[in-house]
Amino acid sequence: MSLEILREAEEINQGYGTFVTLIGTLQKGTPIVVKDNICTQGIKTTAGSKILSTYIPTFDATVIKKLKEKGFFVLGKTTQDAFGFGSFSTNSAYGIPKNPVDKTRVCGGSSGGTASFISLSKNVNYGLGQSTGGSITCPSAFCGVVGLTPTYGLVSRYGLIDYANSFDRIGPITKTVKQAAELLTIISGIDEKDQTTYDKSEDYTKYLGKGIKGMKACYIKETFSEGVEREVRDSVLSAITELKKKGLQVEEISFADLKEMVPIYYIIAMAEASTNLAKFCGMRYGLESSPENKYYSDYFKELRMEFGEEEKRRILVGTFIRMEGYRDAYYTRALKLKNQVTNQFKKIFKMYDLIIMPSMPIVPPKFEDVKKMSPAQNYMTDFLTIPAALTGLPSISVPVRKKGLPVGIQIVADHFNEGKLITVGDAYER
Amino acid sequence: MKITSEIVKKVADTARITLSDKEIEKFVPQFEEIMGLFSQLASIKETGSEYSIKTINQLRTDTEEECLSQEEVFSNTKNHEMGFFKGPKIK
Amino acid sequence: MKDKIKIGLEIHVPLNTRTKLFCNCKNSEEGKPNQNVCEICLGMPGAKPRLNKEAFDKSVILALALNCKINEKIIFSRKTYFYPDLPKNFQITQYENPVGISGFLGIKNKKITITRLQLEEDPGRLQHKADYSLVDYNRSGVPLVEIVTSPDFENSEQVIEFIQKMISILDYLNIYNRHAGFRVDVNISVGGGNRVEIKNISGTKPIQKAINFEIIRQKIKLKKGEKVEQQTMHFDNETGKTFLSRKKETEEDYGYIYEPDLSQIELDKKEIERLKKRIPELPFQRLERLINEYSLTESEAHVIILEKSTADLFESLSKEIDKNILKNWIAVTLRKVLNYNNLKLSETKITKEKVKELISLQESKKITPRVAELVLREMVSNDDSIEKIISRLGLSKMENRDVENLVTSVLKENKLAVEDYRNGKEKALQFLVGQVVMKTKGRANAIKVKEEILEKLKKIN
Repeated sequence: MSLEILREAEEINQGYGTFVTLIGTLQKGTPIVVKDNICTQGIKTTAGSKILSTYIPTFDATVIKKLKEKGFFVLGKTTQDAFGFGSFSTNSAYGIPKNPVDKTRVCGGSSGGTASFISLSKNVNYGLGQSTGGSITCPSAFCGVVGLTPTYGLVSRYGLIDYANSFDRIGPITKTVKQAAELLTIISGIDEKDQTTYDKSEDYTKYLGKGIKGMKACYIKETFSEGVEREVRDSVLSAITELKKKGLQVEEISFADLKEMVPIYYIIAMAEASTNLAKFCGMRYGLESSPENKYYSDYFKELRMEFGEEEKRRILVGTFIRMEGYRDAYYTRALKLKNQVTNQFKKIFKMYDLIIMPSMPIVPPKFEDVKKMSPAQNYMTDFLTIPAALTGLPSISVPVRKKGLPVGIQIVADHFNEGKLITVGDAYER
Repeated sequence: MKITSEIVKKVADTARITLSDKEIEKFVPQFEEIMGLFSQLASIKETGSEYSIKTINQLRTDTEEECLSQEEVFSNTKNHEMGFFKGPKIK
Repeated sequence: MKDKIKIGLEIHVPLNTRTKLFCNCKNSEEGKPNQNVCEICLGMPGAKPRLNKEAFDKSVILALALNCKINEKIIFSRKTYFYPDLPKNFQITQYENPVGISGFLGIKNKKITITRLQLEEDPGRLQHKADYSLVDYNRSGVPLVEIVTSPDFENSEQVIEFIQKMISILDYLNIYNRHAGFRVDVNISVGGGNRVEIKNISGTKPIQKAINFEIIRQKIKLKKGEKVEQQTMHFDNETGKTFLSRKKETEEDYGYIYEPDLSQIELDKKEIERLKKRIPELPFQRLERLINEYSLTESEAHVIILEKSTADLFESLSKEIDKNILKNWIAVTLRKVLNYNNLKLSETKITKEKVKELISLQESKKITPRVAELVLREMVSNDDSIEKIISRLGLSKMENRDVENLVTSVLKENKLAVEDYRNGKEKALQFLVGQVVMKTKGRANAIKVKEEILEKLKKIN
């Protein structure tokens, strides 16, 4: 690696706040930037939260281990919403990353640091993001880069600091579809350390440079209507026209209940998150003080004061909806409905190879506008990424706009059909 | 759903979160708005499918592996003493 | 039915797997604190549980042995509560769909219903200092099976019978880490009153004491016309009394959710059949058979089947050694030595071949029963040949002349006793025999010594 890479990374970090930790020493191999909720042995891993400001893992996440074996080195750990709790990377305890096109706008969340940096860097092409409710797709679309969210279970989560284990996925954020395919080939595969993984890995680069004639896609009418900005709609529709020209067959379908998935998703996500965050209590790792002369509940509360506002909010709501008397109506019911929705999508994939929609309903908003949003309004902006998040389906976000604020097209495929996403994404880029 | 400051306090206590009065004041309406969103669940029609959790049956064999060294065990905390982690009082 | 007593149990049994339930750390509390820990059982951020197949299989085997219905889909859950010994502040346990439900185990004239059997992880171990606590996580993640019964027991005797039967079954199935010991929560209600739970008692004697104390406490309250409150208590083995637990500031609401890091487990019929094959003949079945096949009395058979390994020993040697000698030897001598050492036969170095040799030495009168027992004690922890043990302990059979010499010297040293005997005191003779036997370290046969003394006394006459 040349000094130039380091110098550039420092410069970008100063201008855009993309790193929690930037490794300042020269290393051999291919540089990659990694979201800060993925454990790196000996390198501070904070998940964007103050509560983990001192955590240095004793082990590498499986994806990091695999990347190191293939000659990659970690250039830095990128800024994010604490624990992935956010759509704009504004809930970060380590500086808020900015949009590469317009510094007054957000870069999307929660993998904002990775997406912003990959978009800005001339030297670094590979980044790791992580998605729970759309945290790869959203910042990739807002920053004009490629983001691939693999099928749940294709990539090991071992070493990922949990947000909602049922939905959490690690995936590539890169400049091109080809680079995403390369990265996915390396990081995917069954892992005995994550018992929810499948043995379904492939060499995804073989799906590059293939024609898309004969592939059948649909777009959901409702994802181009209410709540979707005109700029976004127009850009994505013209991208669809281009894809049609290249031979993709596209039909319109209707999926009226799309927005219903938002509460289903958030209930499960928050219920799980609130249990995941129970472990942070000033013992064993992370922020701590002296436990002497303190009753345990008081000591735990003292330390847990340090959670950020959104962390507290999700812990509280997540705790509430699994309490006796509410659990069945919210948590248990949401699980049932999750399955119902997945079956609905499975039916669509009996007829179509792909579903196309915008990545986000809006262009990257200004920081001041995000501040005005209420938490619930905030959650609703995820309504286009939540369908794939809730169902564990793979998706890719590819930039569709060369000028102005970035917009992404989101393509979703059936489980373990990443190959199709790569073929279509790559065909669009060419 | 009506959310009161009492509910928020009770939940906060269960989750071992201390909230200032100002925070409670802020959280109550937000909590209510979020629960409003979540309550839409009641109107979604169930088509009879059961919840399902994935089945993989990829279990671990019962073989020993090396544990962490003492240095690693305590590398993330100052609160340890004679090989034990130091914690708060119970009684 | 005013005084009707209802007792129910929750028994926590630590399994004897090599590794913990969700990680590859050694399942052992031996050694230094926090020695058998890793990022998983310490609950480090980023770590995920990995279910141990052997622990899972053992829980299913136990459920089958206790006549449980095995759930088709088995799920793990998170039980969230805050405590310094619980690394994640949630315990991975089972809530909906545990391993087994609706089983039973029979005791005398009664069938105890087992409502559920679940697999879960143990927390770490706490030590209380004046101003803080010290935590050792070696136990964190140890596999536990929790067996929950209906409140079917009416007195502590039934409870103890049930627990002893359970321990014996656990031994036959070879799934129980008895060194870690089981722990029991007991709930008791008298006369249809409120239920009192006594937490975390280990050992059969303390369990019996706790139940008896609590029944009397509740009866006295009822007699006085007071109400028994629903509460959680602890038992102090020193004072023999139950006492109220410190009331928690807030009642914990466990807020169970499914454990999303572990997938659901489906057991097909074939797998269940495979696990069934790992269940040997169970102790109560073996008891019946031994009584019939070897015409043992119930109490003899009972002692022999207590442990699978002693029953195996009995059956395998019964073709080679006289049954009557063998049954006494195993039910009395061997049992005594094992109890003394608090060990199971399989945990000692005693082998079938050596037992056979030892009994035949005794039967051919080459050694006395007393010497045989002393040798057996040595064999518990010693690999040496019997011959070597005998000579090392100076227990080789005494030559007749040595006995004669000893008798002569004892008679000389105890003239008073000799006198007494001559004056008709039979007890004096017993004393003299005892003196000689003591000097031989038990190597001499008492009857022979007696004969020798009488002979000598005659001669002196």
